[in-house]
Amino acid sequence: MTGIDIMSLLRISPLLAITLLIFVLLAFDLFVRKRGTAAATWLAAGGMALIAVGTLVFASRLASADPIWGGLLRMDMTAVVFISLISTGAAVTLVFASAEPRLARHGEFPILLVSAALGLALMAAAYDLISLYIAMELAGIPLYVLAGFLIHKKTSTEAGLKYFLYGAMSSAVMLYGFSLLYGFSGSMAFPAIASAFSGGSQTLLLCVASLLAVVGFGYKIAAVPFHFWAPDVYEGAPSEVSGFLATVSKAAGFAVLLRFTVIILPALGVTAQVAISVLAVLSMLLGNILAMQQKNAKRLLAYSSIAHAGYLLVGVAAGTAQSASAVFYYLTGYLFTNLAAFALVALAARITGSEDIESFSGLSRRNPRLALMFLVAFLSLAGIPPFAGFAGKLLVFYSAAQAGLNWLVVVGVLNSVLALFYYLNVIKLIYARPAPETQAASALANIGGVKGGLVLCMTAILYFGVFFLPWYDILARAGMMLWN
Amino acid sequence: MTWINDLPILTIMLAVPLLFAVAILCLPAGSKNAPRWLALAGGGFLFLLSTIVFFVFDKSTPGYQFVDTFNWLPALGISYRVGVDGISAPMVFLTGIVLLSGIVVSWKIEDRPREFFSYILFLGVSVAGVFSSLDVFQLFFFLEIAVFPKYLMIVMWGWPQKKEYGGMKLTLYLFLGSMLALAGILAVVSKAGINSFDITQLLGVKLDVGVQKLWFPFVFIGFAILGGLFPFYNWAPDGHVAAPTAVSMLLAGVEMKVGVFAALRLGIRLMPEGAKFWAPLIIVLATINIVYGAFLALVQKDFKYIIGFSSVSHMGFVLLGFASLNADGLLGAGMQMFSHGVMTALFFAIVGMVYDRTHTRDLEQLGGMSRKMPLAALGFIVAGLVSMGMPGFSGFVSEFPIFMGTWQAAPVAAIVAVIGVVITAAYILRTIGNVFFGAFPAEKLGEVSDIPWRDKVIVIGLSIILIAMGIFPSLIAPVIEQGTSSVLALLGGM
Repeated sequence: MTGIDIMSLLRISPLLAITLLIFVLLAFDLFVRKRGTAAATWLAAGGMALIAVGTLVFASRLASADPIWGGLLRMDMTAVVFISLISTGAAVTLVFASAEPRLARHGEFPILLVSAALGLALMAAAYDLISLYIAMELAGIPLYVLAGFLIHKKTSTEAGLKYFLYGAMSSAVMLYGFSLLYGFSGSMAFPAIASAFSGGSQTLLLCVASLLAVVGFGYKIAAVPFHFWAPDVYEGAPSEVSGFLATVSKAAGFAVLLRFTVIILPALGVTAQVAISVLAVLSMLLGNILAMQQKNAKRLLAYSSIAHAGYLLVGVAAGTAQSASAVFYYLTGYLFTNLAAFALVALAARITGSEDIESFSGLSRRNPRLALMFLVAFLSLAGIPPFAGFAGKLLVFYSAAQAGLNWLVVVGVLNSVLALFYYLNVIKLIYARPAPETQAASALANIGGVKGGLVLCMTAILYFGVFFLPWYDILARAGMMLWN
Repeated sequence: MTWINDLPILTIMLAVPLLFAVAILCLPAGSKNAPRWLALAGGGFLFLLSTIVFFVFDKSTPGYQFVDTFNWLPALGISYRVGVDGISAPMVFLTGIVLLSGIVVSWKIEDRPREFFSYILFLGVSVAGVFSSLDVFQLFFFLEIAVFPKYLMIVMWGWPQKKEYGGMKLTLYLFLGSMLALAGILAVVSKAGINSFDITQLLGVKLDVGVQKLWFPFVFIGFAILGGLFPFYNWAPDGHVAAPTAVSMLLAGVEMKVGVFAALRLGIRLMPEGAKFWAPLIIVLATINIVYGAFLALVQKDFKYIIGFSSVSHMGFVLLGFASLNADGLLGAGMQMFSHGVMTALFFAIVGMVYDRTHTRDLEQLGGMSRKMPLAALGFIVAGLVSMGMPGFSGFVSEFPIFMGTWQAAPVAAIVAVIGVVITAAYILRTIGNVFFGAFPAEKLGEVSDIPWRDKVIVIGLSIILIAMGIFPSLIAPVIEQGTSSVLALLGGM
């Protein structure tokens, strides 16, 4: 047990910085009183962007595999990478939200979002059951509120309630799993739990406890069969919040899941691998098949994000340092791609007045640039080069093949054929169909920020699709450190 | 000409048209002429450099030439690595020819020309990139880039009745094929255990025979789906008919070659033992391709469907040549890939020219076109003679070695395949007779004009290539032999 010294404070400086930002935002809301403008949202976006860069540049030098703060946290490269990704995702979300007056004009919105980001960042660094649980609740509660933020919109409040109920339920189950883990290992700390089970004597018990814990993680990443909340919540919640849930929240869930597999895989071996593979196959298949039948763009993206959780689980099942790096890479590209996809849907819905994909018909003639960005985002989701989705998918599948999970790779590639169908369907509507004549085109105001955010996302999608370096080397370090 | 060898010529050949494609997309929305000329410049550039690659290629030196490499992701052994051997050099040349022809015959596209001419360059670069890839990852990277241009070009400019169905079918089939091949190749790269995606290094690994037998069908059949292998040929006619002229030319002319080329490069070459094990099945399927494809072409009433099915039939010859796994068969397959590419591009170009003027593709309604567009008729006859395997044309010098090779490997297949040639003669002669001779309603014939000089240049150019190759096979055969010799060495002195 270490006391509080300057080094352990510096190591958690990204988390402290996010906390500080929350206080600044609170003070800004109380004293500066710029209500009715998006000033607080922009302030939060700027702060999160600075934290993202700062974490990557400075905190990465202090990264080490030693647990800190009495074993509650571990600020290794995985934590650094994820805190940086989470902050980036939060910043981009805030930028997109700046154009939505129903969100950005309320001082509570940036405060809640940054609080959620703090919880998610803490999840990525948690190295103990207690800190993990606190982190997940810290992330969850603001997200429930955010999903139901549009209090005058019935679907949004419904989404908030639904998200909360599912969250509470899965949290309870997970907590029961945690209690079993604690009861039989005598410790809350991950390494102690790992060594308690390493003998292989209590395999069945570990199986049960892990399964219960995975309910909580599966809820966060929206993997089948813990996905039921996702389509309704994504559809009802404000698009920007849905994008945040589908990317940033999911990424943090994967960080936790990867840390957890490091604990349980050595003890459970093939059993755990098969279990995760089954989740992967179910998520891919069900996500893709149900996505084909969707008429609402946000529901389509919800099912697609379930399928993406499946592809990512292929990498988790492989259970190697290389596959962890591949999952990180996939998540990086996916973060920018899906944030852009939700923002584009929001933008198109503002133009056409509807979130139905049919209403996007003929968008390419009215707004070629928007259509082109749709094309890029959806092709990246489908895993087509030269976009990030292709690179990530290939790395994940390759790492699975390296781990001998060839059958899972075959299932994965077949699923990406199914997925291409519904992504192309949307692209077809945008490019090949004429626009409905009755539709009134409404002019867009205040979308400068959204444009900027989209350009950033497009650049990132292309960059991570074509250039692996230097990002992959950082991720490779993170993957190695995770398994040490 | 060593200075050419020192230039990163393949990289330039891929990068410059790619920049043109991006530049065209950045033009203002209404521009009509700028996209055409920029596309012509980009396509012309690719054609020019591909010509240099083909003619400067040194057939007496074994191995890959114009190699240019760059570390992409060293941690996983992924590199950007281009180079050509005797099999890919003619394919790169073919890409240049068909891309340039496609751009020229599409000159009059009026609907969103900016997008059209940008996508066609993307498609051309994708194909040329596959042919010059020496790294597995890079090969797939280029291969999949083609997904969006081919799909969008079909659904945006295709035949309205079928474009959405045909485009989706084609894209999904081809994606399925390439994804199966991807699963297979990832397994192979992992089993090789050298942490490298470099094809030349992977060739040095002797893979376990069981691994080869298991994964060869994934890679070979996966890629062969792109080449229209029976029973996965169905996308080809529907897709080609749905596509606009230039895209049919590119799809049938080069995209199908991409499939069989990759099946050879990553299938047979990396897994020679697997190839020997599965060769009988492929011979059977390829023979069905030839005969059944020709028969389907015979019963079609739609002009473009005939050519679509004829592609299926002719690609069967390429696969048959591969599956014979001997010197003659491989040489013939290499020749056939080039010959069929040019021939089918010419076919589809002329089908497009006729359809643009008569607005029908029904054989019953067409007729007498030779009076209005004599040069197009002549070009179609040349392509038809190639298709029938007439001596003096490139089809003969390609199919003859395939028959010789097949005879050594599986005499029955050779005999059955000859039936395909007979049926081919029947449907080609019938088509020529119905479309270009006979009667066409006189009042409509007045509206039919001759093809413009641009199209004439393309028809003449492509015809000359087909005849030149038929009369002087030595222009191309030694180049291909340089490539096949290394395949034969891998197969073990057959």
